[in-house]
Amino acid sequence: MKRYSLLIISISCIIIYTIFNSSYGNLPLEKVDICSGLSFDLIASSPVIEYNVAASAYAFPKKDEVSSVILEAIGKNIPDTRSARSTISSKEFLLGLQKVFIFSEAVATNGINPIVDMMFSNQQMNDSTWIVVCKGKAIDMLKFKVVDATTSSDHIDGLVESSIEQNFMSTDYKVVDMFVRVGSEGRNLVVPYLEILNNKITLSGMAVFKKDKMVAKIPMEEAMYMNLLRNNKVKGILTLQKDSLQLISTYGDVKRKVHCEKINGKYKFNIDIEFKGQVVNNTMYKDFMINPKTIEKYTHELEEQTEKRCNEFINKMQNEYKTDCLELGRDAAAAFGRNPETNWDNIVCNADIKVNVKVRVNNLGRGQFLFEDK
Amino acid sequence: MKIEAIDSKINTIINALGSSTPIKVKKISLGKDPSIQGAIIYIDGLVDKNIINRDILNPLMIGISNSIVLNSDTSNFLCSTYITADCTIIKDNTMDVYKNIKNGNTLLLIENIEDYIIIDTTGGVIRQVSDPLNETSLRGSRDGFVENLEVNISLLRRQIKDSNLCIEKLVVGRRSQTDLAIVYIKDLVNTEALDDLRERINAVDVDSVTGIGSFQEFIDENPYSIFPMCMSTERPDRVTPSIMEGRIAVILNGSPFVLTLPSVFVEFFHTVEDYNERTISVNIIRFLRFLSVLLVITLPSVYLTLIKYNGELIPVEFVVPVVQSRIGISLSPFMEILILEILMEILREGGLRLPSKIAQTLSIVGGIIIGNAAVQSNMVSPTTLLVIGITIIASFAVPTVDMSISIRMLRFPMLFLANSMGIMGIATGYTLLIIHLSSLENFGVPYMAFNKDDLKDSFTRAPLWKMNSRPSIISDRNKKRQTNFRDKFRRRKNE
Amino acid sequence: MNKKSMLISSSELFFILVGCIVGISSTSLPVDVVSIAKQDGWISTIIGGIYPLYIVLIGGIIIKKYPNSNIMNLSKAYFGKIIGNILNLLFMLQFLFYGVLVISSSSNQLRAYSIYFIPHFKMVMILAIVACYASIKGLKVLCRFAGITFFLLCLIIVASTVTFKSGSILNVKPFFGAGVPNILEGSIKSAFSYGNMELLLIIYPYVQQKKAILKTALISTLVIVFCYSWIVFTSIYFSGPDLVVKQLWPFSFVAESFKIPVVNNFRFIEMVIWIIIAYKTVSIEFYASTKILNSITKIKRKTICFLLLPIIFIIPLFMENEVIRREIAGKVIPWITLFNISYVTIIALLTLLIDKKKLINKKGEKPINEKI
Repeated sequence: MKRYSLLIISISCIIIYTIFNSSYGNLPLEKVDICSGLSFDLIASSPVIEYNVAASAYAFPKKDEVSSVILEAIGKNIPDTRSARSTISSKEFLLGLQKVFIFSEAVATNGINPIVDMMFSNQQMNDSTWIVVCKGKAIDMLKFKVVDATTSSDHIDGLVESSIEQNFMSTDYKVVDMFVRVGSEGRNLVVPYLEILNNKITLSGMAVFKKDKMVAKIPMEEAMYMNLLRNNKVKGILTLQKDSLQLISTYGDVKRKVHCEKINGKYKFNIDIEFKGQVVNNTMYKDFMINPKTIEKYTHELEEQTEKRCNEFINKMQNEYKTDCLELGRDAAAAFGRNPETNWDNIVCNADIKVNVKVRVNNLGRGQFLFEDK
Repeated sequence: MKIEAIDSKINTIINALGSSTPIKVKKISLGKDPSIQGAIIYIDGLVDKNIINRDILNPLMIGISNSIVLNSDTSNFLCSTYITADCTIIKDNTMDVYKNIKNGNTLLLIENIEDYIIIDTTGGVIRQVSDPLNETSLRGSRDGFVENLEVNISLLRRQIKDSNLCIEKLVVGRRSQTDLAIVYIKDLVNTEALDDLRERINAVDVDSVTGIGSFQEFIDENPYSIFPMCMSTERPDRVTPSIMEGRIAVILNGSPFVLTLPSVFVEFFHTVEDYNERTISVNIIRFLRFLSVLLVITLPSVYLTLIKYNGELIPVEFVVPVVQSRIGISLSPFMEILILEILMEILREGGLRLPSKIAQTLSIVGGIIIGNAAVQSNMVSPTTLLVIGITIIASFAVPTVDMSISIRMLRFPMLFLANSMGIMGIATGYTLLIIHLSSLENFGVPYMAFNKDDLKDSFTRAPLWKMNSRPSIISDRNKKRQTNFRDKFRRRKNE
Repeated sequence: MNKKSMLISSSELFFILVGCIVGISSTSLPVDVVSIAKQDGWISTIIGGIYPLYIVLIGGIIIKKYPNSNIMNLSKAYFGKIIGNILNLLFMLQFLFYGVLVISSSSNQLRAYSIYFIPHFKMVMILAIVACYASIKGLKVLCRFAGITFFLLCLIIVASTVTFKSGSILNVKPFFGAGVPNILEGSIKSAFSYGNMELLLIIYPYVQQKKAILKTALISTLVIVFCYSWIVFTSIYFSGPDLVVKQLWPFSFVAESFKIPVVNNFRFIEMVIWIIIAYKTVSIEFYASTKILNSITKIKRKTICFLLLPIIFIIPLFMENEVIRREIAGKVIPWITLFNISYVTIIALLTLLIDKKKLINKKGEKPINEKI
């Protein structure tokens, strides 16, 4: 037995290798469709609505050239569109490398639960793909030709990723954030809203979801304040402007804390915002550099203005949108107990929300050009 | 006193040594009035003729002015009065006599006296102690072992002056009768390993033992394993610390490599530099070495898995360049990697023994031109070439040659496993590797086991003045080798 | 061979005890616990650690009395040969069942995550063969293997600390909000996944220092409880209690959020580490069952490994569906736990009350000469 042991081991190794290698393999990477973005459109036809899912895939016609090709597919549900797409594509489909998913407004208002479920159960999914909602047809945005990238999805990826620098935007617009926010208690999904303005893809506002359906689109000037109240550790510019010649702008970051109390069954929320930044433009007060009292005056004025604008937004939110855009329900659930049955939208819309803003100037830059020494 | 003429004695000796051996016989007459016949017998080429002329022939032929008395004390008298070289007297043991002659000593025969006088005249040309070619070091000593057993032992003795140093001499090989020496420190050594070793050496029953490599294989406990069991080195400053830790050194006459056993896995990744440089630099370099071991084994398999099975795990920024580079490649990824690997191994094997001028041409032709041509003819993709190139470079970082070959060979089974099973293959390969390494033992010492105290000098090296105890895995005796002497430094405290 | 080197040291005992319990099935632990105890699942997990602690303490009584025998011999001595052997057989079936569960759960999880193309049959085959090979090698090799995989496990746990950036403490609050009865019910569920601590009672005669056994076993219990509660806590911290129950393997979801520069997500490295850990768990459980069978019958342990190989090969083939597997596990494991607790308690009580002196004299030297 021992004499043949080497023979037996080698033969069994070869047998095991062939057994395993005969499993239906995958094609290597160059024979696979790598799509950079997916768009979801709705075709309202009776009796059942149909989805139009388009994928923008990379094509390599010549050795050093990269271009893209759009693969459109129509089906009654999302998995059926996959079968439809394989009838026109020359390669296998790979799901995990997308940069962005574009939902059209129609799809978002109809409810994105089926799409979320499909993404959740798929193992190849890349959890850091961006989610955006677009105006009109999503496929137009996917087909849009951009100058600085191969496909529009690359451009949108860069757009959303670099948007955190201004407007108090955060990076919580990915697929994994979508899983956590849709359907969890006290949480609410908000994604960027894109449209094509002046032949450029523009981030024109934020889309607000209630559970899994989109209920409102907030333009960027208002959405800035929503982001300010909603996100922690974000950056943006707050401007105090009296008229076209007198303004002070400060660029800084925001820290947000929420306290909530329950008095006689009615909820009361206190949002404390601390805004610290650098004065980037100052044409109003000429003596910032020598007089700290002026700075104090300015900060008070800015605080009042910000609180006013925030309260305007909160009013609108409570009366017009009727959704808890600021995720206050989460803090309340953490303080007072969790119950999946509670309707936090209702409670927050009827609650008392107070905003306290504290502004601090910590940097004046290199100097103040319009400084006048009295 | 047996009366025997000098000629018959000479003939007996010549017959016993073998008639075709180049034996030289010189008949001399000792003393004057009457002169006594004597003869010296030696083997040409093994002796130092200067000693024979100066210390034996000169005093005996010229220096004896009166006659010698032939009695039982003659040999002693001659040895202590006239022969100025070192001599021993052997009474009956002819086997010893023949052995001594074959080792380069001279035999002095005197007629009618039964004693054999052996005079130490070993000489002959041997290589000078020089720079070890295969293991260079920046700050260590430049001594290297040579082929002669006595010189090697002297190199070790100069560095260890402990009185407990034991040197045992054995003989292996029926026909070659090669000398072997075992060197160890008596109160530190692992006694079971020592007994085991002696048993095995005495059991070796072969015709000849020519090199240390074949000897290593004869006493190896796991001959089918890919990993080397004993560390062989050319430098005395690697053997000396090993002996100090409780290991045994085996020196074979005729081979400039010395074995130290028992050895453990991490030892093969240590170099002499590690103990001659500063602590932090050494730790960074050791980390680099272990990182390169991991790279060599896994990088081609990981690359194959990512391309073939799990495309979604490639970083998004790399995908487009990688796919672009693979458009139009005629071979499948597995064949591509395999062919490139085999080509590199052929290149390396070919360049090993060439004279240095041709080796340079080989590296240029092979590495650059063939690699470039393979890419341009669309046989392989540039990314694959890059990955294989990184693997080859990483494989140079393993310091010991034996271990370097083993690590390089490991990547082939790993490649096959990754090709058939993807990530599962890589994990299975690692599991089997770990299980195999954990089950290896040599001379009772496990190959890959870590006691808590030993970690001071395994993957990283603690400062030398902190390594207070010997590695307990080798030998359990006499643990402490240094004390916390730094506490005694007097320092001025800044107030 | 060194007589002393045939025994295992106390650190190796620590590694093998931790290795037997913490395995790939711990990634699905949060689901059961959080579905009852909501955001306080981690507190339930800590409380559930009472079960292995109990086994260790009770085992300490047995070990102190009979330091050189093991639980199979004890049961044969106290209950007579036939009933003792039947109890030993049930004991062995328990380990075998756990091994089968781990094989099928690893196969299901791996096929769900990165290895889509290998069918269940081949995955089970490779897991069973490697486990068999590892357990043929013996206890010392398994201990060293477990030592190395312990460091890999530490690597995963340290890597999961990165999720603290993206999760939030609000997901775990309010503490004790779920109510104490729910927490206690959740802790019973978590206790079921702490099985296999009885390995201590099988291998304790092979440990060098008998006095350190209890201390080592207590430290290993502490580490296991910490690991499990950490896993549950991180899953809740990252996903929130509502999302955890929707997933099949919450901890793997957490690990994917860790981004390293070279690989896209941490999943690749994490999968490799989990596979190695799965091999280790199955090998240890398989080894335990062969050891018990070896003491019941007189066949050599190596032959038993080959005999039992078909069992752990064929039975997982029926559990291809994760839901079926969890259902079977949920039904059988409570009975196993009950059996373990009662079995060990009864033997401990018997050791306190009745003294079988002949046990010490006759079998005192045996374990050292036995091949481990």
